[in-house]
Amino acid sequence: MADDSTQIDMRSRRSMDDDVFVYSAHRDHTQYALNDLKDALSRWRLVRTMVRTEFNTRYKGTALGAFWLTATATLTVLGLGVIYAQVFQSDFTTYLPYVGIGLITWGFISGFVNESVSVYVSSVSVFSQIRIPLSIFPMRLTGRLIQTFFYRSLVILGILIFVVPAKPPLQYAVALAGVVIVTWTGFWISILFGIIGARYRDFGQFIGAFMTFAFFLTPVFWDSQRLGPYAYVAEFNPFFHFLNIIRGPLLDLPDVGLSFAVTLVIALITPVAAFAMFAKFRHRLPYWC
Amino acid sequence: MARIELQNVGVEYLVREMRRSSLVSAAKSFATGGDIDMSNRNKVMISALKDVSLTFGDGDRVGLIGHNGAGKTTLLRVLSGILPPMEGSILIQGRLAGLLSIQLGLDQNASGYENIFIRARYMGCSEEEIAERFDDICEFSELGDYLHLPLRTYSSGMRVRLAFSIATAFEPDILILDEWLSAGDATFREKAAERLKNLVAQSGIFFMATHQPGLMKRMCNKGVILEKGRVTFQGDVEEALEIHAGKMPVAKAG
Repeated sequence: MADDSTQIDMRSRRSMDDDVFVYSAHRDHTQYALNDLKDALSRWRLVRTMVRTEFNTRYKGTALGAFWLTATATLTVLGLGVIYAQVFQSDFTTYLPYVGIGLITWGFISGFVNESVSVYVSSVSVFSQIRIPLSIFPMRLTGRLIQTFFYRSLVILGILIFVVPAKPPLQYAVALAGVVIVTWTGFWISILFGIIGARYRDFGQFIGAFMTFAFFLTPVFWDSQRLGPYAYVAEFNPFFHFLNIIRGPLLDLPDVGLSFAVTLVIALITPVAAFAMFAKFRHRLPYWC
Repeated sequence: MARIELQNVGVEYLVREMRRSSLVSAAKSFATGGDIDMSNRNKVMISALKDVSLTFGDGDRVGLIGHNGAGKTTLLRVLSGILPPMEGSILIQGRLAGLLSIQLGLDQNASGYENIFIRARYMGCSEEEIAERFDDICEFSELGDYLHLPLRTYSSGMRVRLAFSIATAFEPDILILDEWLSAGDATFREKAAERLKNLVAQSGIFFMATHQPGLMKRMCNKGVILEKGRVTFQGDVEEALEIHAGKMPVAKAG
């Protein structure tokens, strides 16, 4: 593969202490953006270190450490599961998995959207001090959100083992594919929104307000089947589809095929838009932040 | 072989009024058809660097001289490849280490040992290299058993020692210093200056910005004077200091 050869090239150059950095203000910036992404990928160890540092700082001195994420998720899911099963007059054993998996998956999806807007604004102290590929910060965010989701999804695992009857293995694999699609799209969204959020500070506030609204508009804790004539509220809501590709296969919910189709299209469009933005404005980020 | 070339580099900072940087006002002026005017109204441009062309090669130890706001830090950031200039082009050949920030990337809760790895990864060093240089870094920092303790227990001088030891351990071809070296104690400063001299002597380029003429004379052989973002002089360091001192009597005292 072409990627491999460039990889080796870079490494041998590095060991020869012969790095060359060239930048011209009026050259086409696509190549710089591409190099930035490649460089960030080759430095995955740094991404891991950054994520670990963030977790260390947040959970330093606590007895549970990052398992606080699991504990918090358990309490929320149990609380909502019990109370809303009563409110909606639903059966506890079908409602608890629905709202439990729904909430945790929603947290994963909305985490990308909510935090992407500050991905550059909040890391200016790093890239204004050292030469570092700028796509490394969306990677750090992606890494942190995956790790957060991992600890929370232990609750999903518990629900699947103890509450939900076993499904064919293929369905679990489909749900994992859903996680991959969310992660992939989320990474590109965090580049796209990170750049917009750095330039227009209102954007971050707007997204914050919008996501609160979106939470209630998305069938996270209520059943989309009950919408009746208003079914389009769910159908035209991309968040519903991203939720449904993870929760749907685990709980035999309808429209999983449709949701995969919709999210795959989005997963193909966002990289194009994000890369175009990145190539056009990457070199402006140090000025904006 | 280390080499730095700047060609007609220009940097302008745009200071927007608060209203300008909001999406709402951009949309408003768009709606009123003020698309082009939008770029001219309510904007304050600061030219930090104007038409700067410099070329340096092995053995050049360059001191940057200039008043506050003359563009020294901006130039160091362009030289480090951190700030992409808005005009012109740059070429940096050789491994570059910048000591612009002490705290960068350091994890307050991790030990000194762990922080060596963290900081070195930020600098883009490979794992093998870090392992290779690890003992040297520990030894040079003189932190001894403190390296087992979390960084938050370190004094600011100890942090400087650790950061300096890491930054200079990987034999950079190009070393860039903003003036913070004074933070260590006297003995360590001597030792650090000695190491810098050795590093620079081996080959490579050294840049520093400082307001201390004495330090600059000791460390540098070339001087660059910046005035309002333009290079007004480049050449011998003594000459540069004299010209600068003549223009600014206060500097004579130092």
